[in-house]
Amino acid sequence: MAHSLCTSTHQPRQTGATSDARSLQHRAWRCLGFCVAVIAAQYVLSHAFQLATASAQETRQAALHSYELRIEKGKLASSAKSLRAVEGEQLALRWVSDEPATVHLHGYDVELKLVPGVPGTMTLQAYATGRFPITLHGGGHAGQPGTRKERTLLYLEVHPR
Amino acid sequence: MRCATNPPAYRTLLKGALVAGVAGYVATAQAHGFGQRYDLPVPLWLYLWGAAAAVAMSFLVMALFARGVRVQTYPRVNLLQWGIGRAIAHPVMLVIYRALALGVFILVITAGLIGVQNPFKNIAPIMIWAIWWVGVAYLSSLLGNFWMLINPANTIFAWIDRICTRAQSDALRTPPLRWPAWLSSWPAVALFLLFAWSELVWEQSDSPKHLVAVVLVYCAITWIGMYAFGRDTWLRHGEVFTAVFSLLSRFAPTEVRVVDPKVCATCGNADCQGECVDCYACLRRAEASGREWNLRPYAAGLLTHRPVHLPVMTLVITLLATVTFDGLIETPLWAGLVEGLQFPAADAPAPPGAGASRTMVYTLGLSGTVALFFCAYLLFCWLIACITRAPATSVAGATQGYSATTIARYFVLTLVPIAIAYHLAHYLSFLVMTWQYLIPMVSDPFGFGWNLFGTAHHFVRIGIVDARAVWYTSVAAIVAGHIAAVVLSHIMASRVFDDPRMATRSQYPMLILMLGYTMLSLWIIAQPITTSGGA
Repeated sequence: MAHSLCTSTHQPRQTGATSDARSLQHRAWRCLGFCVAVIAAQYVLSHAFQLATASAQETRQAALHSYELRIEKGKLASSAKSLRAVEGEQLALRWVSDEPATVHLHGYDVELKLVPGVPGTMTLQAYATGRFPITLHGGGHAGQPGTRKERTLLYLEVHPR
Repeated sequence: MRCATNPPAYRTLLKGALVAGVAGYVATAQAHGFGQRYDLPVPLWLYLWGAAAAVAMSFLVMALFARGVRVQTYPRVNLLQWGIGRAIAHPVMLVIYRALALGVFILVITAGLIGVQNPFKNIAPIMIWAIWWVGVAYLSSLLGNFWMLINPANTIFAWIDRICTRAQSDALRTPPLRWPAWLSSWPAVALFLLFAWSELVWEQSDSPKHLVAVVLVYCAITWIGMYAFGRDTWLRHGEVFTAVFSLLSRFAPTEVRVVDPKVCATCGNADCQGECVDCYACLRRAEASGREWNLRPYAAGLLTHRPVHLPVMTLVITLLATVTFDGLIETPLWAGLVEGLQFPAADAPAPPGAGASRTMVYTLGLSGTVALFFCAYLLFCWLIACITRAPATSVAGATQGYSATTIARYFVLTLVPIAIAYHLAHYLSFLVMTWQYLIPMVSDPFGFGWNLFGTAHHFVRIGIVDARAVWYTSVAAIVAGHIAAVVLSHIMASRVFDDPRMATRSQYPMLILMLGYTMLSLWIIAQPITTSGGA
């Protein structure tokens, strides 16, 4: 059917080999279409599954997950590279630093100024999935000229439900 | 799509934090373009699914094509036969598109020069890196070669040229210099390497002033080149973005074609392979009846009848390498490498030379990746050349066959779909996010505190990107790109080699190469995004 719409200045000679090649081509396109359909079906099915189990996980959404994070000498005391959370959770990140510092969670754009020894808490609801860097601005004066370097402390990974 | 569940109290908290965050935020030393990517790494099970699908489909394609396939041409539909096609491509509309692009260009230049020097408040960096470089690359691969239409430097030169030479006819104006044949498109390759460096390594690439200064210098180079050698000659051989976007748009489903052989005879394009496709020099001179704007299958434009020229091959490999390096620099592997090289004492403050050494490490990484891609590609082409060398048939014992470089020049375009697919996967959520930053910036492009359209305090929603959707789309795109590459490669093989068995044999090394490239692309998107710390 598509061929009736085609205008081609080169009319290929309809030899047996060419029509054979055409059928091979069509088969290849059909296989590709099949694969795309399989992947699409899997996506749809997994989303349907997710919606079906969403109600069971609503109780988990209300739970509060808190993390204790300590900064020593401009770096994270523990060797953890990332925090793992699930979409929809309430998070409370409690920070303590030995030097004045500003901690910044990218994406959610939450900033927290820390005084040495005094704990501060970032509370947020993890409504967006992704991998968000948490960076440290030294000196507690974000925006100070010359402080071009900001260090990534760790990442907050919010995984889909 | 899942529904947003933001409690109202949280929104006000976040708005306050956003304002505070933006006001206090200092530009990072991230050498890459504006904005960060918050993509989650593709989970292992999906990565393995994708890899398995790529392998399985490759063998399926090989089996299907084993008996040889002759594809001389591809189905085309001329959009100009319909009123809507003619309306979109009407000369008045074309002038409007050019004027719009020119307007945006002037806005960006002005913003860079006189606007606030903060990449989060100034519209220049986001426009140049996200909307223009990533966006136009995306759209060129998916829609067609519209850069040739809207290139602002070209528009300015063309309009000034027309005003200046109103008295004389176009044909009489000959440029003072002739393009030397040996130079071919090498200047475009060299300029592309410089551009890739500025995108991936240069630390000032986020600074509006510096960025716009470089843009103006590049425009000056373009105009000098156009004046010296002729507009079409320069565009064909020296203008980087024409070369790159034309290359990417070979994958796209639209093309412009001139079917009037009299026009093509006076074209002077040595690269023309007999069919006049996407040659804007001919298109300008052709009558309306000799022009076509065709819809065609994806990737059909990557098939050629003759091997591409050496500089074009070099440009393709360089493009592939820089796209991959772009992803590599965000992997933990690279971050570990850079930190190990730069900060031998882990808790010492950054030494004063650290900035320079970082640039050097990245430059070495970029050139190393380009060199590696070249070596790998030429190695596999050499393998193909060895495998397909026909046995001696003459008394003198001379073997027939192609050299490694000829094979390389025939097959290089077939790798492009993998790069396009990876580029798509890598930047999909970035584009969806970054478009939102434009909304407040349109109301306040210079960062002066204006509110022209009332959107200056628009709230950027990071929650609109669904991680799962991005995962599936990315893996599906890369696998589809791989399949397209394998199919194209088989079609090219049957054009290059007469014997179908020889053609199939030639595809084994190519398949291994493509699988390797696809696995690398999948591996990169399965890595957690890690910026090299401290820098």
